[in-house]
Amino acid sequence: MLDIANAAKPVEVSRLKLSDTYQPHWTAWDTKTQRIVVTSSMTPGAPVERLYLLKLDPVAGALTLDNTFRDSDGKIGFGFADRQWPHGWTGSGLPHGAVFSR
Amino acid sequence: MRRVLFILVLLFCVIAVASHLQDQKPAPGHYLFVWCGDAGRKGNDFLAVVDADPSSPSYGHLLTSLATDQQTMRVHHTEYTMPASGMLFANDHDAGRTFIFDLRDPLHPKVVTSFTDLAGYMHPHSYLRLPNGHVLATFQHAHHGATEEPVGMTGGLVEIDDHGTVIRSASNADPAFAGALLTPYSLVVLPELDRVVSTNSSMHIDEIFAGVTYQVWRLSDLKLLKTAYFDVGENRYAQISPEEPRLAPDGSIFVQTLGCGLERITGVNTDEPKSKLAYTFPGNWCGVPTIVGHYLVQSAAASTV
Repeated sequence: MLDIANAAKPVEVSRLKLSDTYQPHWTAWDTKTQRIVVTSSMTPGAPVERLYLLKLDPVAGALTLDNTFRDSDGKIGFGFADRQWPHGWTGSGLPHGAVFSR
Repeated sequence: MRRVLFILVLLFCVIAVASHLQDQKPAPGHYLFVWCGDAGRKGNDFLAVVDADPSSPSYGHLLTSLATDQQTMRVHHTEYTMPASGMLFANDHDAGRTFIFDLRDPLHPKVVTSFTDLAGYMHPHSYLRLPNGHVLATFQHAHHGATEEPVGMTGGLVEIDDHGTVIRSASNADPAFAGALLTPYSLVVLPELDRVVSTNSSMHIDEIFAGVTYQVWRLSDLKLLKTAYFDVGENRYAQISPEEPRLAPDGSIFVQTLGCGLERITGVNTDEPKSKLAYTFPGNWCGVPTIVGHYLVQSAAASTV
């Protein structure tokens, strides 16, 4: 994460590593809950990664994983792999864009 | 009898008004809409609705999902934030198809319509809202014959309403950049300046490193004002594949690149806008950034955010 208060000279203020293999791609901000959603880009053949929500601390300039955001499997984040979807399909979802309600 | 009829009509009116007021209430709860494809590319693209209310006992759980009739090719962009209308644009890029979802009732999402090519342009990529509520979308390619340029080298911008109807469009072909890859990727709308800034990057792997330009448009009539190269930094590659432009708090425009550069464009309301490589993140394949206040959050394939 960069501090761009001086836009001509951005300064890195923090860095969050989700795992050794996770390749974050899409990010979007939720003004209501002050969370950032992150989805992963997927290398063909690689396991389907989870979606995570991050908390942003504007004072410390830091991102942390929201470990209260847990799928029904109890694990942190939302899982797409091998599940039964409400619309009647079973399989692994591949996410890209993600948007919060207003 | 007349009295009974009067009372019945009055009762009907009261119920109708109450029902209307109930319809206008914002939906309770808070939700995350995730645009998904089938990882195996055999099933169809779908929209998943996840509980995003931290105070909810089912926070993080799947609530519902809605399938489209599009077999997954490459599920790609949605809008970056939920529009005021609750009508969300989302595409399967390789299919060249965009869906418009009605998400006003989050637990009962609907597909309003879908579209493919519009106004002579194909493969829509990114969607930004205009002050009038319409979408201004980048389309990567123009149909053959639509411009003098070789097929696929140029595209355009198209203004679209929530029904998928074309309002207006404009080509991004620039004779001064003949032979350059000018495939619109994403854009930022600047109503106060009467400007739009768009980037040019290809979604095709063969040309993925060929995009090196941005374009400045006049918003009021979609006139292309300027095509310009991005600044080349010390490592000579951080400007390659410019993707997502974002408005910075100081009014300048930051552009993330696939080469993990962060370009800063200034002077977009002048005849000579300029870009300067402001930062370089580690690695390559940087993704979609988000600006929150005076912070810029950048996803980097080197496993960091």
